[in-house]
Amino acid sequence: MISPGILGAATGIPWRPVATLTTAGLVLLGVAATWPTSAVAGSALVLGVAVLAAGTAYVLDEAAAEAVGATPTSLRARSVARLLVAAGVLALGSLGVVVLAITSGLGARLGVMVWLTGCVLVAVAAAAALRRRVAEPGDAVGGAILTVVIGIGLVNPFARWVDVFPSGDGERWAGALLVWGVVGAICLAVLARATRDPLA
Amino acid sequence: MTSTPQDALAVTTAFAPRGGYRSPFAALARIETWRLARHPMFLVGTALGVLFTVMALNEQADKVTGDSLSLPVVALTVGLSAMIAAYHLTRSFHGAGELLEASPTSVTTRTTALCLAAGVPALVASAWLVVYYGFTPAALDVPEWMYGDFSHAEVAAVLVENSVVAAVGGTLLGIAAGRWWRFRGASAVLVLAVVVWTIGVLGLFSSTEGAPPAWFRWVRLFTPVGYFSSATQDDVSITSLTGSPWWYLVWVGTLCSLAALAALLWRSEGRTRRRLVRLGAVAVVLSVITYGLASATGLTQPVRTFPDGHSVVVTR
Repeated sequence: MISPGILGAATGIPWRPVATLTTAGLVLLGVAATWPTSAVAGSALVLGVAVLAAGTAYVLDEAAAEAVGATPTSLRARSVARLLVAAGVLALGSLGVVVLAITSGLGARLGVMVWLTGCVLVAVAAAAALRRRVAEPGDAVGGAILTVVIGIGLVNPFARWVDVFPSGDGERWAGALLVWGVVGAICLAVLARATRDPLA
Repeated sequence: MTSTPQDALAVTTAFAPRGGYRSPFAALARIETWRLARHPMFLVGTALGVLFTVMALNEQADKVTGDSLSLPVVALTVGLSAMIAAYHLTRSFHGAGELLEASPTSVTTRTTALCLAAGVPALVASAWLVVYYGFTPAALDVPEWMYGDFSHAEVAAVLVENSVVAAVGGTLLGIAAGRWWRFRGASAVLVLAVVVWTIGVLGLFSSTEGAPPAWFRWVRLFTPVGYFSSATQDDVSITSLTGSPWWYLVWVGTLCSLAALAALLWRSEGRTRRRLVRLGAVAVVLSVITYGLASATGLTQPVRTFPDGHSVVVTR
């Protein structure tokens, strides 16, 4: 049983989907790291990042939202405590990316952390925004993140202008950094607004 | 005490006597169809599919790519989003289980009504076929040589499979998962499983760099979405892959039936259950036979075709 004294506001996180999806994401990164030149390495990498992001979408779920809302701890304080778990998932994913860069011998692979961070920010920002209406937005946001990232990663509709998920030397990193920088800034603004106390 | 979802109340009020419906089943089917059609996830997926297609048609207005022979965008967007939406629709009633048990309509009937909602993604996916064959924009106007060793009808079978059948199958699989999987994150796990299965098999066993081992032809089609033509990056040649597109279409149809039967089997009882189990056994046998035919017939070795029309068998 998880002790509330240890986890505090993060006790209410649905740990099973977070742990399952984080593990699955790390396994996929491991596949990409183990067979970096195989035909599925690129797809495994994109899929692994998508799954890690989908896992972080569950950290803001609160089944007892009405009861918890009556406690003296502010929504922002509770959200920050839970977002630390998302940061932990991001850290694990980043570690996986480092291993990938080492095994593939491509330093450019470290740049994958950029779009990993971006995807995680999108997931938590969307979950925070949707949490205003739904107590447990994880399922909806997780599924949406997976579909959108997989769609963009495999179809690559913006290839004419930018590489959204670059992972190697010679790819258009400047455009990708700009895109993810803008996405990250928007997500942080959404997070700040969505986690403010409704009574403030 | 569980709160009653609004949708459950809407369903039960549908049983109130009113003109126009011959049976509760018709009312249920209409409600579930409408719920799926306006589900946010399905609308997002459809919008993404339209967006990606419009962008691709604009960017590739002066050249035809290998994707024109498989239309993977429909399965990726409409199919996946319909699967997630169907899952959530199916799970939306789990909080009103006691209320629904008191209704005169059996669980199997309610599930059948859900399954009929797969007509919505099928209709949406067929719009891509209408664009492909009715309007034929430049990016989809495939020159004759790119058909390789396949006839127009065989390529049409692949397009139907990757669009309409994939959308229907995704919906049915979402309903089956919604009935049997109750853990949090199940929809994400479902999407992950389907995508990993598809990409893994396609990536490992559909390579066109050199001749693959002979046994690859027995496994490369074991995926719910597939392709039979692969163009090189600069479209200087196209490789027609092994197998029969027609039997593959039939095989994926049997997968759809298995998903529907799995959904219907949930909490079915008595004679209905026995009948479903028998149908399931028949479907499994048909699935095995049709998969064998899909792998064994058609092309037995990959064939590479060039713009001047000549073809060579890809050998080691």
